[in-house]
Amino acid sequence: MGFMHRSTTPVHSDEAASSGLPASPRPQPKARAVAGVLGLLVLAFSLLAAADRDGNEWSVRLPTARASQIDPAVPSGPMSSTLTILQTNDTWGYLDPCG
Amino acid sequence: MLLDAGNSLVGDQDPALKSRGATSIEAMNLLGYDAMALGAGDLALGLDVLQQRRGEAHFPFLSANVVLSDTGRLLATPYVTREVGHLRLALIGLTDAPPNPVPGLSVGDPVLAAARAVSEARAQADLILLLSHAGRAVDQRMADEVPGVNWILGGGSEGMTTEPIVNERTGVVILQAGNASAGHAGMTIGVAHLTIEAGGRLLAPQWKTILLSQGFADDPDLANWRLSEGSR
Repeated sequence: MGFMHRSTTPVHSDEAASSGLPASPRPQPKARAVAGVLGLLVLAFSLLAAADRDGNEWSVRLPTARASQIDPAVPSGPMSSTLTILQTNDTWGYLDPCG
Repeated sequence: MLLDAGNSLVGDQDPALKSRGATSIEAMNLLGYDAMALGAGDLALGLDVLQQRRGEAHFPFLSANVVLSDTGRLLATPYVTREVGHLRLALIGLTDAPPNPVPGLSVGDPVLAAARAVSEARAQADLILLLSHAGRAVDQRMADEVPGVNWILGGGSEGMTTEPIVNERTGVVILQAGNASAGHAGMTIGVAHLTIEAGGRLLAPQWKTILLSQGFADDPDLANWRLSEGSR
C-alpha cells in the first residue's frame, strides 16, 4: 500500500499565483465535434478569470505535520500536473437553473 | 474533466421527467461529461430505462455498490481510470439507497464497496477520487475509514454547505458543488484545481463554486438545442 506525500503547507490562490505553479493544462481535445462542450469550458474558464461574483471560493487547508512518504511506485516527472475538474450534482435534469 | 456526482438525470420537471432522463443524457453528451455517478434518484427510473439511458450516454455510469438483484453482478462500471499528466487517476462511483426499493436492483453498503473498489483500483492508479452520491455523513466515514482515497466529489447532501471538508487525520478532501434540495437544482457548479507535483506530492486543492445566475450568457449551441427540445 503506497502513500502519497501530501503538502504540509496550504496553498492559497495568491501564493499559487505568485509561486510560479504551472497553469492548468488545457483539457484533452475530444473526438466529438461539439462546440457546446468548448463553449461550456470556455465559459467556465472565463468565470475563473473574472472577479469572484455570485460564487464561493476556498483554498483548502490540509492538516499539517502528518507522517507521509513519497510513493516509490509513482514515477517522478519533470513537472507537476494540474487537473481541473468541473463538478455538478443533484441537478435533477434541469435545463434551466432552478430559482 | 467534467463529472457529475449523481441525481442529475431526472427530478420533478419536464422535459427530463417526460423523457425519463433522455434529455438530460442529450445535454450531458453535448457538454462532454467524462463520467457520472448514479444517485438514488437516477435508480428510480427503473432498471430498463436506466439501461437504455446508459446506452445513450457517451460517458460511463459509475457505481461500485448497485447490483442486479437476480445475479448479484454490478449494474454499472465500478470505476474508470484516466491519465493525468504522468499519473493515473481512478474515479469510483458510489450510490445512496433509494427510499423505495427499485425492482431488480439492490444497493449495497457504499463504505464496503468503496474499500473493495479502492483496493482493486490502486493497482491501476496513482490517485483515487470517489464520485459519491452517498451523502455527506457517508463521505466523511469513507474519508476516515477507507485507506487510499485522495479526494471525494460528493452529492446527495440536502441543505449542506458546499464548503470543503478536510479529514484532519487522513487529509482526504470532500467537495460538493450543488445543494441537493428543491429550489437549488442545477444552480451551481464546482471547479477544483488539483495539483500533483513531480514525485506524486499532492498540493492542497483549490475549490470554487459558481452560481449560475441570470448574468451568465447561455452557450449558443445548448441554447439552440434547448429551443429545439422545447418544440418537441
